[in-house]
Amino acid sequence: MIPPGTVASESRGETLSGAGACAWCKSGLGSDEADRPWIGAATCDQMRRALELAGRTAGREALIIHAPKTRSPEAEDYFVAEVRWLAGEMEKAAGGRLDREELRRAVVVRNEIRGRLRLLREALTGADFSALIYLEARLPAGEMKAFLASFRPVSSPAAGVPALLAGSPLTPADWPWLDDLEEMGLPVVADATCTGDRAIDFTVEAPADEDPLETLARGYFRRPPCPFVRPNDEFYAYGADLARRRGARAVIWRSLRGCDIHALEPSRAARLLGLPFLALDTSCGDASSPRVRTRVEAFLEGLR
Amino acid sequence: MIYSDPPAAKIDYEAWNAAFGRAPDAFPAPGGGTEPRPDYLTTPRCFVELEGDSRLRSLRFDNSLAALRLWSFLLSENDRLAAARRSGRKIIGVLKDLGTAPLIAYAVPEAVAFYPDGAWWIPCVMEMSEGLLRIADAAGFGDEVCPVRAALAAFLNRAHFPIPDLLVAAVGACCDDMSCLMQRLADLDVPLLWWEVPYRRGAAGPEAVAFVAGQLDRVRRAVGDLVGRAVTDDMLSDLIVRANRIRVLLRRIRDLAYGVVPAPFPALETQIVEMLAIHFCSDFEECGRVLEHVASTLERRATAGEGVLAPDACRVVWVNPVADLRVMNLFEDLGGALAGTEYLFRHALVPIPEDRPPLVALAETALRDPMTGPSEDRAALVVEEAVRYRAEGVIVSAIPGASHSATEGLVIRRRVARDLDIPVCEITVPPLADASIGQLATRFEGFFEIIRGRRRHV
Repeated sequence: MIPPGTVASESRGETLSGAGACAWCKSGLGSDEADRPWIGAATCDQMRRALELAGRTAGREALIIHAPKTRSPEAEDYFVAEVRWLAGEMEKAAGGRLDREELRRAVVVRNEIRGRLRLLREALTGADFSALIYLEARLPAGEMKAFLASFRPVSSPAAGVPALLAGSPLTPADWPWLDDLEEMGLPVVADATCTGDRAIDFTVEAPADEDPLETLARGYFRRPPCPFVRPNDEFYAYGADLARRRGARAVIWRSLRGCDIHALEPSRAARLLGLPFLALDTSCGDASSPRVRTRVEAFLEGLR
Repeated sequence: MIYSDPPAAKIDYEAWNAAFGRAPDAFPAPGGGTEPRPDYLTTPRCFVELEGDSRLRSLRFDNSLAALRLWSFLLSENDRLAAARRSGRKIIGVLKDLGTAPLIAYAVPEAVAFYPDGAWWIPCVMEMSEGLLRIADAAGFGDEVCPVRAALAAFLNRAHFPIPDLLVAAVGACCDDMSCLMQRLADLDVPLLWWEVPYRRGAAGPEAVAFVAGQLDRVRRAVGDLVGRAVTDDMLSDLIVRANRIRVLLRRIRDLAYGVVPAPFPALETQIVEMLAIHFCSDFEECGRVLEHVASTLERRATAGEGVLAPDACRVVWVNPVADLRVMNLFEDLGGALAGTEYLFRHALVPIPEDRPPLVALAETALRDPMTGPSEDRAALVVEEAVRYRAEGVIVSAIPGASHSATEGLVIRRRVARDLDIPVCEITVPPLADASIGQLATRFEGFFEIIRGRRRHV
């Protein structure tokens, strides 16, 4: 689920969690879809606690798996076991059996979708790319593939200082902000958030004789990591490489309020990414505020 | 002459210094007899004037010899670490897991373990004179982060504890603040080993236990490499047996401190006693002697009906340790008494299984860490504690900025309301609570009014 990221959803979620919870989790808890069954991964402490709360609020305990923080073969095997457990629980909840062949086909189609998105990527504005990632997260594989077959970019990145965006994931409410950045002369040509290039910069290998669940788990475990992994140097190596490949000349690091995983990284990020760096701290819905706009403008002044 | 404690009471800093002057040369030894006065026993004034622990001036203390010894043992830890380094022992800084990894270090005499996390009390104890939070702010860990950020600053200014030879960092199902802090420490010039404890859904399954046992084996090998000899299963098994003796002792102390009316030991001292469980304050053997001394003092007081608080004090389970120690005094001064605690390291208080391979036993214990499981499990521990010690209320002392504190209070409140129908009060205690003392006092007073009102109603 990618939360709506609106002020209303964050406010509603706050009544169910507490003021100290991160804006992303609050918005998820306060979304119109929060009454559905929840499944998710304990990526960070706040996320797993939000999932627990969400399950309770929805009236059915959330199915939560552990997302390993270390990157060892043992951690990978543990993640495979967790995904298998999740599949078993989902089978129980749905009252049916997982169709392994269907899953294998879906893995192949998702690979094709990610490949297509990678091809399109450089022709897309930051907002359009983010919107496609959003769709990819929400649509069944077949529908997304069909959509992409006829999709043509309607706008292209503006001129200016190409930027790498990193930090907290993006919600639909952030798309206007990405357009603002573009309009101000800071097009987001690379997106290292969880809802950006890292979501498509990998392929799930699918040998025919392997359990597709295991294939899926290993593929996701090995994809470009989130900053929550320990140590997270691999994330920065990925981000620096992405910035170089796309010609980014600046970094915007946006942390959602209450998200320690991103809010406590800027000093390392600035050093490891090695580009002019702007750290922003926002709640849902205030990324386009005059306060943030002024800071972006000042940052741009320094780059010209 | 045989020393005997004065009648149980709480005393202020000046009276406490005077009590030091009456401390005998011979101390009770475990199992009877006496032993020489511990060499770390120092007048409290020394800690204030030489170490800068100025907060001691405004605290109130238990007046027993055991408490004086307990405080001296706690406050002299850095001296012990420095002595360990001088003697060639390896210092292992253990981060986050609160109770398990130190056992591996203590299995070999060539190593000593401590928790740099404990630096979170320094801003309180030194009343901000040390500037740690300012240093943490400058490093990007501001007020929005748990007070444990002081540990990062203590590594940066290198003024508070010896820099360890090895850091052992537990990550996985841990709080976000600590995870980020450990990542920053990994950038320093100190070897750091990551190990992982996964999130568990309810009781830990065999896969989780096997995974954590494998992780602890990595810790064991790293410790062995550091000290130059293997840490064997036999060494670990022996240590587990000895650690269990301390845990049994702690259980005895908790039962006396929280279960007996009038309370025979103050909240501040019982908090320190519980804290000793996680790493033995850098001296395993002496830790046992200190706790024996406390236990025998409490037994004597309980038998004599002596207490440090009024018999009608409001009995409360306290959730989360406080960064400002003075708040525990305030709680008691206004009419509260501890009737159980949940300080985030329950797994360090329970016996470690002795009938299975030691790494498996340690893995099972690590997985009982309340931080690794659902908030609902931790809420159940609070309820258990309230039932065991007949609590009349629960205080959830939120840790400002801590990721788990953002939502946990709500879960605990609901669970306590559902299972026990006793009141819950949520407060937030900053590292130095002077500016909030009035507000906290009002909250305590209001809460105790509710409890007393319910007594009248019942």
